[in-house]
Amino acid sequence: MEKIIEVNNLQKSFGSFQAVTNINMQVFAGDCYGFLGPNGAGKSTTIRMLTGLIKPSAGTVSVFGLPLHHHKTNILSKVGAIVEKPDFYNYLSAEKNLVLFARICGCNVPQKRIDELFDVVGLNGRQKDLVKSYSHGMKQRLGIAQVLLNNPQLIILDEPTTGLDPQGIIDIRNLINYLRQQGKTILLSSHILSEIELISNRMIIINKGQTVIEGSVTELLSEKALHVTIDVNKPEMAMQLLQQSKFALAQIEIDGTALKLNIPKDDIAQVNKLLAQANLDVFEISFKRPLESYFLKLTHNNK
Amino acid sequence: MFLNLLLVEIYKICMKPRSYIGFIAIGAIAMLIHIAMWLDGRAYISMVTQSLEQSFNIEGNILNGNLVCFIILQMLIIHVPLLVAMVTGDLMSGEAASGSLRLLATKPITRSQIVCSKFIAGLAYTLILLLFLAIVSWGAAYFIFGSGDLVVLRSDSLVILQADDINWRFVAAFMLAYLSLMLITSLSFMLSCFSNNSIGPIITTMAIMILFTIICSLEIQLFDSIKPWLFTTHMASWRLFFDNPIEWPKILNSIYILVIHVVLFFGISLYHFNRKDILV
Repeated sequence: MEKIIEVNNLQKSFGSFQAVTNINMQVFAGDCYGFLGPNGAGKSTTIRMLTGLIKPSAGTVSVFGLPLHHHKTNILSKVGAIVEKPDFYNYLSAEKNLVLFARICGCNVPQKRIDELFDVVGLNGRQKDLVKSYSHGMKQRLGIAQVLLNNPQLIILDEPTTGLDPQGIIDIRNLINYLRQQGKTILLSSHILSEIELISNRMIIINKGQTVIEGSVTELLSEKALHVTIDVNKPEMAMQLLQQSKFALAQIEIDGTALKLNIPKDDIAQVNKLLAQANLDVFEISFKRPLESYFLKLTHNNK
Repeated sequence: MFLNLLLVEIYKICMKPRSYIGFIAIGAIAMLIHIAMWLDGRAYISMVTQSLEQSFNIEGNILNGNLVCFIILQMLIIHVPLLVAMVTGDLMSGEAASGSLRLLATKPITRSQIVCSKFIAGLAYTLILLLFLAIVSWGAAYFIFGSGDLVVLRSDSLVILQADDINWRFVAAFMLAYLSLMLITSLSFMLSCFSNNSIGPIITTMAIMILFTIICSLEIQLFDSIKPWLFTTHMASWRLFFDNPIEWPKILNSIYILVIHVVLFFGISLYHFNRKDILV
């Protein structure tokens, strides 16, 4: 499969502060690649390096098989990006902003196409309004319209759902799915695992400027060994019961009134049945995938 | 591609409300001076020429368009740099502050193209502002007060220029004044490339101008060696065109120093912006 982005040993430091220490990643054609990390992990710095806004201190970035540093203009002609948040010329109308950015890109975008883009992002009827009158969500939508102006092969979106209301998040998610169906390769950064899980097919988790793990979403978020927490009235008795059953090999521990064990999703119902048959009161059963637990821990530690 | 970018930059300047402050200020000041000279010009002229009238017999129309234009230029040319810096000092830093620079820099254009298009757009704005100044000072003064010989009072001399010998001097003076304002454009633009807020470059440009002007006006031996190299020494060289005879070596030297500064400031802008990490 064609590699669209290849990043090797990417590093960036600002004075003595090392923002990115070692990032390696590969994005293939047609991927919706989730770029995940807690706040301050180095996501935006990496995206800035991918779009040529900042220069890496070390390492290589290749896009469409070409080194970014030497072919920046050529590469950017096939890329649409929103870095951090889309900021436009507030004193101009949304439509005028798109016309100007189309001219800057050197593409001859007919009025029909611009109207179509406003339609795609759900801003129809608001194109003549000044951007300064737009809400954050509307600016995000306009940002996506701007990204699509030059019909890019690669779309880079840096936390596009930040600050949006639930309906806005769903709309952006649908829009990304629509773009993927159009055959675009998408790199989507986020600090919300569930968001990446819903949209992406491959993902990377970074922390403290380093790659933690990279792979397919289905593999990384496998449900073969879930972290299950059972809130039960007699945890010691429940543990004894489970240790005498077919779940003896599962790693079981007590945390307050909760019982914690690692089992596949399919076994949860059987465990519940076993405890109920022993007349134990089960108040709640919750589970997390190992990566989810790990990511939550990362996010928590970074707070 | 570059022409598109340049037209976009000029369009952006045209659409910013602050771009019109300079035109309003120049128009208002010129109009006030015209009204004042129309109503009270003769008394003003006789007050200035009072001491001369004891030795000379002055005949003809001294209060004419050429004199009024010269007075307006003397007054306004000091303040026009501020009006220029207000727009050109915002060209790069304004976009950095608003975040649109980030979007612009991810487009398929080189950093050099961004710098050049903005700089040329800034120069075009400066030229249009100066042409406006020429229209409201020279053009309007001609229309209201008519033509005539120009009497220029120096601290130690009196220069009388014939009416038919003045037009080319005004054209040349405006051209040299444009070179001075190009320098202000390039200085404020350079500072703008270093800054992420639009007020900083404007204030710094004016601070540098004030500082250098003070150094130029201080009669201290320590500064004598640097004065010829300070651009403020040469910013009022347009006045040399109203001397008789004209001191061409002085004018050429001023042009040389001003051009060096413009090239230097633009070169620094280009070098810095090409290496700059865009973090805003």
